[in-house]
Amino acid sequence: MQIALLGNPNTGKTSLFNSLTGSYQYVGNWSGVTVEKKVGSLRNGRDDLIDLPGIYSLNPLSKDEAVVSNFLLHESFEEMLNIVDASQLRRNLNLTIPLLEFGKPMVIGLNMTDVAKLRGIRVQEDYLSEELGVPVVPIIARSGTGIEFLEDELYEENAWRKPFKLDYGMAVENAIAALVKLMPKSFSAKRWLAIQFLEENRAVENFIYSVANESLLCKIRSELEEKLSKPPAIDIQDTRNKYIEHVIERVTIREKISRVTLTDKIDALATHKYLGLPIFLLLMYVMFMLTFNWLGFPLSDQLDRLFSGPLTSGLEELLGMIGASSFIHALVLDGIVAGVGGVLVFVPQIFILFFFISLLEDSGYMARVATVMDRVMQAIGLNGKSFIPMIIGFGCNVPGVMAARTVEQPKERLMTILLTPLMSCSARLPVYALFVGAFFTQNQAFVVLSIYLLGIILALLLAKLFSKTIFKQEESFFVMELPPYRLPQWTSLWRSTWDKGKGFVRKAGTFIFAGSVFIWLLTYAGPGGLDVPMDESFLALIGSSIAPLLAPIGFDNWQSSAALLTGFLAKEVVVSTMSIIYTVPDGTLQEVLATSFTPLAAYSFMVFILLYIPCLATIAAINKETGSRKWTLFSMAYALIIAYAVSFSIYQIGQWFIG
Amino acid sequence: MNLMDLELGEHAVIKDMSRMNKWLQQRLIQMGIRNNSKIYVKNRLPFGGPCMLDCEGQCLSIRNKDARCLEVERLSCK
Ligand SMILES: Nc1nc2c(ncn2[C@@H]2O[C@H](COP(=O)(O)OP(=O)(O)O)[C@@H](O)[C@H]2O)c(=O)[nH]1
Repeated sequence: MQIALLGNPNTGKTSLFNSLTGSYQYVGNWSGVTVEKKVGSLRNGRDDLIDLPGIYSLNPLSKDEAVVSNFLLHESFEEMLNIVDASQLRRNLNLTIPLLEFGKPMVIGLNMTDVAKLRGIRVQEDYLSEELGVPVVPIIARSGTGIEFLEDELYEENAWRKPFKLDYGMAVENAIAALVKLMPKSFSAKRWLAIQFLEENRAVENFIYSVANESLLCKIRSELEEKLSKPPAIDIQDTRNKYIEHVIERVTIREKISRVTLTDKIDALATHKYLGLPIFLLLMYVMFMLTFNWLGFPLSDQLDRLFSGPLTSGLEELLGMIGASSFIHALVLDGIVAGVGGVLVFVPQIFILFFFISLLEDSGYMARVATVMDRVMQAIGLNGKSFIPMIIGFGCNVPGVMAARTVEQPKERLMTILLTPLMSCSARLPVYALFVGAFFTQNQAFVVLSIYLLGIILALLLAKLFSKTIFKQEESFFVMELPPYRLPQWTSLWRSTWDKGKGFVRKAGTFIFAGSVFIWLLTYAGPGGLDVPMDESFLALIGSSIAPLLAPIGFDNWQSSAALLTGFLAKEVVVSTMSIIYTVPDGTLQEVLATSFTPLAAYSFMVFILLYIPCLATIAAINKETGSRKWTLFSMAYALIIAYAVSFSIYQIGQWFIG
Repeated sequence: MNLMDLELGEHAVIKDMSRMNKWLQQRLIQMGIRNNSKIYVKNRLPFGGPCMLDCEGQCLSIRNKDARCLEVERLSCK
């Protein structure tokens, strides 16, 4: 059996999905985290639960929301699970009613009952169940309270569910009856289809215009509009509102409680007139210090010592014992251990960064950041909401680009997608870490922070430029729900951190593993045969053909050109490549690097790495999200041009200063 | 009067939303905000930044230019 999970954003849908399916999913707090279609199998092993994006209404106002209407129109499923936030009943029922009209068996999970209680709202589930004619189970999705009862209801074939029918008044009902006759025979929820059509649901219109007579349908709707002397959608909404008020009146008991909640207190600080922005910057600073100086580097150091010490010597012994050839010996130690190990040592830093991003998302702070930043973003032709994809982009550009879907205005969305890759993702981190470790030991975090800031500043400048030239602005709007602050749960935090971070580990096992072997082979073989000196290898050959181009920006050695080429696959491969190229019997990679770059060239190189091109996976995401090859190519081209220009300026001006 | 005329924390009810941007109006309606909903301004961000509203127990933020299109009526008591 297929069960669809539907509900408003921020109602705990993802938490419920996780506790019902026991699968690892991504849990977040800002409307827009659940963008992909996810299917999990329920614990009885027979039924599937399909997670749909959180929506306020079936009538899609953005691309994201059309997913649900299209799902109802085109997919087959047997049952609906509607999650309803007990503390926001009015808004939630606004979605429940059209879902009930769809006519499939439904179970309501009444969530956030703890929050409602704190606010002095008690929802009597038995009355609600009686009103709506479907089972209602009170739950607390976050702690798993009541989940067993919800499961029982889901699996049971209830005989007493009564069909739901709200009377919209004579005029509307007559129009519905007339429309139903015109609806395709094969579609069972004809009344629902008719009502949604009257409500001008765009996804439904698209569907029925392809199977029924458009002009007849529209004639009925415009005649109704004349009769009502207002759009039918408004009249239908009015009827629903009245009904919802009636239901709320009947099922809720309100107790008096004190008005100032914890959320209000935190908001007084987080969105304070003058302190809001400094607080955000301070949090970012702490996040970076923890990721780098305070926690990340020491941990990476330990790991590095483990790899280069016990692990390498252990493997060496093992290879000696089984009598491996010198080829295998070199492949394993110089290729795989150097390449994969060089990237893996940065796992602690990346997980710390992802942990903080998950924390920001889960706690509800992200929505405040969007609000605080809206004024600045508006000034450069973007939207406060564009800020969130960009922050996510610090973790990884791919989910960042995908999160741009929640920006409703098409041009702002496109700009957000194009600019998110300028946010320095965690895969670029190993490269910086390597270089600051070699050249800027005194102020590691500061230098890395300057690179991150450079990315942000460039994004802001380019946004301004783009919105003045390519994207002449249409009317822009901003509305952001600010969910109450919630203390994230450790398990769900860990899950979402792991969910984001595991991609990195997996990449190390597959992509980077294969890449390392390939790159190593290119260094091992050359026109002169196998086991040639590094400088006569194929990689050196390829690298040196590009090197002259890079001389003006500070690094004309073939090694860095080769590393940049391979970095297109994934930015951290740059580190693998360098680890392989610069393998030396004694001394660390960083010591060797110190002899091939000047500090200025190293900085220029880091800037180039930041900007020069989105990685392969990001480009695929951009292509998917924009649906346009033109914009995908644009995203690559402008990055390359900017990277060259900025690195060029830094290197040339820097040299002039140094003399 | 519109939402911008309210003092912080001053309670009011919504009287007319029809002057708002059509899209925004629809979104607010979807969120259960409509005529006669109780509303108050929680916070205004500086430099003409968005204002944070509380409407029937839910909190959201909109821009000033849109807030100006939201007609409200002051509630006498409280
Ligand atoms: N107090 C409380 N918090 C909950 C409950 N269910 C979910 N949450 C929290 O609400 C936040 C949003 O939940 P999430 O599952 O991401 O909601 P979604 O946006 O609807 O998918 C998370 O911080 C959850 O931990 C609940 O029943 N009670």
